[in-house]
Amino acid sequence: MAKVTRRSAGEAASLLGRYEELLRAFLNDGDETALQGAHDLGRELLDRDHGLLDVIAVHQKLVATLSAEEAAGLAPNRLDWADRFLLEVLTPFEMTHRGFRAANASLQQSEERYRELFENAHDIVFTTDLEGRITSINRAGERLSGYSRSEVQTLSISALVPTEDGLVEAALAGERRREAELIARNGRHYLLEISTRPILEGGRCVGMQGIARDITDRRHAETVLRHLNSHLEDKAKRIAHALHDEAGQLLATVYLRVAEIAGELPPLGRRRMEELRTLLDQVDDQLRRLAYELRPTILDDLGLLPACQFLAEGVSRRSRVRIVVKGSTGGRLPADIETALYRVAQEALANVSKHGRARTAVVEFERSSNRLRGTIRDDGIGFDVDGILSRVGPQGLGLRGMRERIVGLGGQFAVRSAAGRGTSVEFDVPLES
Amino acid sequence: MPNRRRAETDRNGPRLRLASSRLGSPAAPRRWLPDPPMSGAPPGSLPPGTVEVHLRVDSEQGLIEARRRSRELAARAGFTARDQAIVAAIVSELGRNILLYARRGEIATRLVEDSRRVGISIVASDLGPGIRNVPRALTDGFSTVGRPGIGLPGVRRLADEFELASGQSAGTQVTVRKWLR
Repeated sequence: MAKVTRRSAGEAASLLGRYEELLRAFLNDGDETALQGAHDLGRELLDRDHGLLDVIAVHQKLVATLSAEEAAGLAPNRLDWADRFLLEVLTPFEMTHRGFRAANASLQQSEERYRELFENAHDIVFTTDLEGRITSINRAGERLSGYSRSEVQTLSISALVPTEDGLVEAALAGERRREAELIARNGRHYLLEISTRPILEGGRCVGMQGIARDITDRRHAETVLRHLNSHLEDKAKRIAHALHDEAGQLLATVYLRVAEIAGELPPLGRRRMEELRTLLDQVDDQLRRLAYELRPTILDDLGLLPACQFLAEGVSRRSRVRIVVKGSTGGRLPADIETALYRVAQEALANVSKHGRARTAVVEFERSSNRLRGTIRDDGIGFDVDGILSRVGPQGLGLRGMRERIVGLGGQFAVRSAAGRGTSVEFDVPLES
Repeated sequence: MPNRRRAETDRNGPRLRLASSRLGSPAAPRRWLPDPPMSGAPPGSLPPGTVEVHLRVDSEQGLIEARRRSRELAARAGFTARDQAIVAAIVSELGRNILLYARRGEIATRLVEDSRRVGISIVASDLGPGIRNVPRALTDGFSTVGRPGIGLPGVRRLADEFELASGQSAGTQVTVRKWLR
């Protein structure tokens, strides 16, 4: 701590003058008053940044002067008193000395605590200078990169994440987060999510600090999940096709046969056949609905918005919730996106009709050049989102499923709800422009 | 707080207590030594056998008197010149706090002993406004003097034992013990 010294020659002289005055008084009467003065003087000398050695030098010079004044020198007991006087002046110095020692010890302790935190972090923690040279890295960083600390410190960050140009510049310019690929010493690639901040020292930027998390496994799991989802959709599409087309064809044949037989029967038998037809109508209805729920052909044929409109009409009819579909998707979208968003809308509207006790609901899409935002909101009873999501178990599975689908598209997902205030499911997904 | 009440009623200099009333039988062996070189001692030095002094601190003079008497007791306990200076410094810092924050108070210094050692106990008490935030008052840099180690934190480090009791408008009592080394 650089304290500005406001010591002028005059002030120093006056402090020394007081030293001499007090010492003379004490040697004269041996009284406590002078010693209290010595203590106060010590505090003041300390406060004015006088050094310990300066004080002792002054004391020695004064004692020499005083000795010279008396023919036989200072009597031994006076020398002893002078020592006592010096002790009194020095006790404040001793106090700050102990204070600094204690402050140092606690600084060291907190330094050790932070070092432990740094070293044992599961994520990689590192710092670089302005040129991107790595100045420190923790054990997690050594482990993942395969380079030892001393090796890493001869490297630049761009040697570890070679595909990322300008990582440091971007971080210094205020970028907080990015994904980058780390190439380890053994040639393995890891996907990192890096959060960065500039390091400031006295308001000046001197480097960058970062925390990097290995998200290779997470990304892998996401990819697997996406494949699984599209595989399931494929299966559903084929089953729906089989139900609709093949079973439907068979059913049509049955209709024809029933009509033929009915013509050959007496009136009583004809009426029984009519009953059979009504039952067949119901089977046909069920088949169509099942096929539709598995995979609405309208989604493949006409796209997300018409499919949602059709879905909303069906849910409205069955549940008496008035549902409005608004906005625009700006035309057809890639099939995987349409499917995912349709499934999200389907799940959200199922929740509205099953749990929400809503009277009206709105499905709304909003297209910008390279994003699609969507909202499904209702005026129902609402629920405790965090409470449902924090529970482990089947509850909240639907919510998590929606989130997974949106995150799988690289989008953002949110559910807002509170008891008595309705529910709003919101998503925002990027589109390849 | 009996000490404090006594201090309030006692306006005429230090009150003393003699050994027999405090430290067991007079026949018990004493470890403290006769007065060290501070002879030329000021008039009215402590009567032999004194083990406890109560001093009213409400002026510079009172503070000096508290230092003088505490030092004398420390000398009797056998404290070296160095440790006497430390006792005096503790009294100075505690007394300064009393004058600064409470304007008046009391410092009671006594000889103490346990099974293994003898020492000095210094109790500074006042009925001032009290310390609002005790941990902060004991942290370096927060006292009115911005130097590490000065004031209460400094006293705590000079002492072997340190206790502080304070409450808002309940006054402050600081107890310090320093053992003979």
